[in-house]
Amino acid sequence: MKAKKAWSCAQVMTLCVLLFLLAFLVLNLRLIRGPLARLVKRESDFPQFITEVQTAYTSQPAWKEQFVNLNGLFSRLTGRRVCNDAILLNNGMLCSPSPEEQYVYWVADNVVHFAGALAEEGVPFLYVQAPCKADLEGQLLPEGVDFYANADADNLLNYLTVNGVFTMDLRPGFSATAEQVERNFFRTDHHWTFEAALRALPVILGRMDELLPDRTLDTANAAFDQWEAHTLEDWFLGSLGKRTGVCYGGVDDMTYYTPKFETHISQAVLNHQMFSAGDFVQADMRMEYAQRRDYFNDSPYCIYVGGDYPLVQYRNAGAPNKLRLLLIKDSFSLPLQCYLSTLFTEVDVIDPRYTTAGMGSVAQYAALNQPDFVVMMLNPVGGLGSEEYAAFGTQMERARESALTGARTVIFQGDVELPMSENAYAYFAVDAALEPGGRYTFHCGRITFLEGGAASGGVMAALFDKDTEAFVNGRIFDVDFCNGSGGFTWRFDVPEGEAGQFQLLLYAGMPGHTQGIELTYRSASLTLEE
Amino acid sequence: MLFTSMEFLFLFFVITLGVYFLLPNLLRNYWLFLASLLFYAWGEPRFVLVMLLSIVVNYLGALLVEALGRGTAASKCLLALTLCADLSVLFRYKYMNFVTGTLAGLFPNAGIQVTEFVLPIGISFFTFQAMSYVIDVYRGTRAQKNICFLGLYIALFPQLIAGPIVRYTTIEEQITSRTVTWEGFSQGMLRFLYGFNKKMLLANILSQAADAAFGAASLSVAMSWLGAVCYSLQIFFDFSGYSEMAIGLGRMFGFQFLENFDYPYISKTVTEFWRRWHISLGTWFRDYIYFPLGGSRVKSRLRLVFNLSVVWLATGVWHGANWTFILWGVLYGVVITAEKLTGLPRRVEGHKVCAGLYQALTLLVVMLGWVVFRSADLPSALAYLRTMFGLAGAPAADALFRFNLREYGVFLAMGLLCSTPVWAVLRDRLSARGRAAARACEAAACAAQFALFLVGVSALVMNAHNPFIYFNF
Repeated sequence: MKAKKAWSCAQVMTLCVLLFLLAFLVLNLRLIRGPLARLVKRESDFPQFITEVQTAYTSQPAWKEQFVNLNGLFSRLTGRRVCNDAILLNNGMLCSPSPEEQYVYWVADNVVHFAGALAEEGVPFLYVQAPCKADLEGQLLPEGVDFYANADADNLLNYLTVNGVFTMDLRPGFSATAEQVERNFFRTDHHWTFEAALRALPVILGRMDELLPDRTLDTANAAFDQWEAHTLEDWFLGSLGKRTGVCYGGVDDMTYYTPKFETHISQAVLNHQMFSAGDFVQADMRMEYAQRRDYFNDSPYCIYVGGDYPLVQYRNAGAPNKLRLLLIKDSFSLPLQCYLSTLFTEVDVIDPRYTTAGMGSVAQYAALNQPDFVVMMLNPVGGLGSEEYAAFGTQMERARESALTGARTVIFQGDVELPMSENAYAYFAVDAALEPGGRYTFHCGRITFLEGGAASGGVMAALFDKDTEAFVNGRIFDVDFCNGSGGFTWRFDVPEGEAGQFQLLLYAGMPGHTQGIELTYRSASLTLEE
Repeated sequence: MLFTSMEFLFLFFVITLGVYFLLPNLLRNYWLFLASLLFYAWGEPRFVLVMLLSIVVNYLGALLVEALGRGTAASKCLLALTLCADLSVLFRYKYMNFVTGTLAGLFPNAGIQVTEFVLPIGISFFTFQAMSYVIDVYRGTRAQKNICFLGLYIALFPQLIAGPIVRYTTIEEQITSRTVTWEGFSQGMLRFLYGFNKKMLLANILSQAADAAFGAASLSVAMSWLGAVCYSLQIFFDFSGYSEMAIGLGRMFGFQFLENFDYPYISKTVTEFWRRWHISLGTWFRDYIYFPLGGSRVKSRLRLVFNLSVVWLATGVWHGANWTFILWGVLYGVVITAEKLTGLPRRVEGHKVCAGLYQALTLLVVMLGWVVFRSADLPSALAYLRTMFGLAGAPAADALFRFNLREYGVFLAMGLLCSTPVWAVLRDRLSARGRAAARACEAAACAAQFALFLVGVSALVMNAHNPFIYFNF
C-alpha cells in the first residue's frame, strides 16, 4: 500500500492563504454588487466602475476593524511614532499632524472684515482660540516632527489683535503643558474633553461679559458644580484611534455632563429636519451614544448635538441671559454650544464647512437675524488656513443696506390660525409665490396658544424647497421671549431656482412635536424687499 | 492594477485563479489572456488598444519575417519596420513630452508645442518583450501562429507591468504545455508572499524616510545619507518584491520565469552589480544590443567604449525620459567601461582589504547613482550630493535625522539584513542539522510570511502609502 505523503509547510500555508482570500472575496461581494449593477444598467462606465470598486474596497471591507487593530499593533511593536496620520505623543496620547504652515490670513482678513461690520451694528464679536493637543511647551511631540498648528494660531491671533478684533486664547489655560493636555483632551481623539469644554465655559463667558459693558452676564449655571458628571469606562475610540486601532493608543473613558438645574430647550437642525424639545438631555443630547459601545462605528463625541451641522438653532425662554448669540464654530464647539444653550435665550450655531449656497453667507445670516453677540471658535489643526472658514464678510453691508433703504412689497398680511391636530408636522403654507433670489421679511406680532402651549418648545417658520422636498432655511422662535419683546422678525433670502419652487411654512410648534397644539400667528406679514 | 491592491488580491486574483483551474486545459490560455487584458484595462482602459495594436503588429511582423526567410533583405527590412513601429509607439508615449519640452526650452521662439501624453503603464516592459519576440523569430525561433497565444506572452498579467522581461524562448513551450503541481503552486504562493511582504513592509515604509530626505527643505549630512540608504533599499525591495510576486504568480499558473534579482547589494564590482540587478533587462540589452554590436570581443578599445556607451545610454533612457536617468545611465557606462579597461576588479581580487574596499566603493557608487536616479532634476541631484559630502554647509545631524532613524530603524535593520543572503545561509545551516530542523525552519518561515502578509493586507486596508517606482517604466 502506497503511503500518503505529508503536506509541506508551504502547502499548508498556501491552503490558509487561499481560504483567507476566498473568505474575503465572499464577504466583500456586497461591495461590488452596487457598482456592477450600475455598470450593467449602463448608469456608469468602466472607469467609474473601477473607481467605485476601489473606493468600496478601501473604505468598507470586511474585517476592517481587525485589520486596523493589527496595523496599529504592528506599528506599536516596531516602535513607530507616526501611524496612519496619527502622531503618538510622548505621553501615549494621539495627535493629528500639522506638517505644514497654513496660510491663515485669508481667514484672518475675513474675520477682521466681518467683526468690523458687526461693530458698526453695535454687535460685539469675540474670536476664541480653542486649545491644541500639542502643548505650547513642546514637551509632547516626538523630536523631529514638524508641527505648525500652534504657530498658525499665533499668527491668526496676532493679526486679529493688531486689527482690533477681540480675541481670547484658551491654549495657555488648557494646553500649555503636558499635564494640561493630558487632563483636557481625549487620548485617542483630536477633541478636547467635555470636562475641558465645561471648564472653558465660564472663562469664555467672562471675556464676553467684558465686551458687554452695560450688561452683566448671569454665569451661575456655568459653574462646574452645577453640572453632573456621568462616566463610561473604556467607552470611546476617537477619530485618531479609529485609524490606529485599540492596540496603538488604547481607548478612552468618556465623561459627559448634564445640568443639575432645570432646563427647557428647543433644538432645530434644519437641514437634517431634526427637531427636539425638552430638558437638556432630551433636546441637546443623543443618548444612544451612552447606551451602546461600538469603537469603530460610533463617535460618542457626538453625544452632544449628534454631529456637525450647517445650522443649529437653540431656544430657551427660561435662560438667565435674554440675549441672541451667534456661534461660528467647528467640531470643538459641540459640547460648548449645548452648554451655551442653557445660558442664552437664543443660540444659533453655524458651521461654515457645511453651509450650502442656499443658506447665504455667515454675514448675511448675521445681518438678517441680528444677534446680540457673535463668538467664533476654531481649533488650530487644519481649519485656520481653510477657505471654508472665510465664507463671510462681504455680503453683510449689502444686507444691511437693503434692510435700511430697500422698498418693500407686502405680499401677505393677516392672522394665521392653526387648528388642533394630531399631525406631528402640522403647518400652514403661506399662499404666496416666492420669487427666486428675492429677499423677504416675515414678521409676526404675537403667538397666541389656544391649546398645548406649555408643551411647545417654540414655533418654527421654514422655507421649503418643493423640488428637493427639503428645508433650505428656517428659524425657530421662542414664544415667551418673542411675545415679550414685540414679536419676531425673520429675514431670509430665497435661493435662485424656479418660480413657485419655494414655499413658506408656518408650523404649529416645533416640527415633529405639533400634536395637540392650537395656535394663532397674530398680525403675520410677509414682505418682499426690492 | 497593482498586485499590492485590494482589488487585485481579493477580487481579480481569486476569480482568475478559480476560473483557470475550473476550465479544461484547452481554454486556460484564452482565459488567462482575457484576464490579462482586464488586468491592464483596470488602470487605464483606453491603453488596452495600444497593447492590442502592439500584439497585432508584432504577430503579423513575425509571421512575415518567418515567411520571407531568415537573413533575406526583405525579412531584414520587415524586421526593421516592425521594430520601428514598436519604438515609435514607445517614443510617442514615453519620450515625446521630454523631447518637445526640451526643444521648447532650447528654442522658445520656435513655437514648439509641448505634448502631454499620459504614459501607458508597463509600456517599456511589454514593448521590449514584443521586440525580443520578433528578433528571435528573425534569428530562427518558430513564429507563434495563434495570435491569442502571442497575446498571452506579451500581456501575461504577472509580468505585464513591471517585468521580469520574459523572453519568448523561455516560455514558448510553456504556453502550449505546462503542468501545475500542488507543490509548485505552493512554492509559487510562498514566493508571492515573500515579494508582497518585501514590497508592503520594507519598500513602502522605507520610502517614507527616503521621501522625507528628498523632499526636505533643509537637510543635514546624516539625514541625506539616511535618505540615500533608505531609497537604495526602497527601490530594491520595491522592484525585486514585484519581480518575486510576478515569478510566484507565474509559477501558480505553471510558468517558470527566470530570476530578476540575485542579492545585488553584495556585489563586489559594479559590473557584477548589473549581473545581479534587473537581470532580465541586462540580458536583454546584452543579447539584442551589446552582442550584435560586437560585445567585448572587439579589436579596438574605442569600439568597446562605443559599445558600452550605447548600451548604458540605452539603459538610462529606458528608465525614463529625464536628464537624471540619462546621467545615471552614463555614470554606469563610465564606471563599467573603466572596470573593463583597467581590469581593476580582477587585480584587487586576491587582496582581502583591497577587495573589501572596492566592494564598499561599489556600494557607494550604486548608492550615489540612486541619488541621481531619485532626484527630480540635475540641480537637485547635485545639491543632494553636495550635502552628503558636507559641501553644502549643512549641519552634521538634525532632529529630522534622529526622528527618522528612530521611526524606521527597525525597518532599516531588517532591510539591510534582507538585502543579503543571511536568511538563506541561516536556513541552509539549520536545515543541514537534520530533517526536523529543516521542517521547523520551513514552518517558521511560512508562519512568519503568512503573519506578515496579514500585516501587509492591513496596510492596504488602511490605504497606507503605497508607491511603486517601476510602475512608471
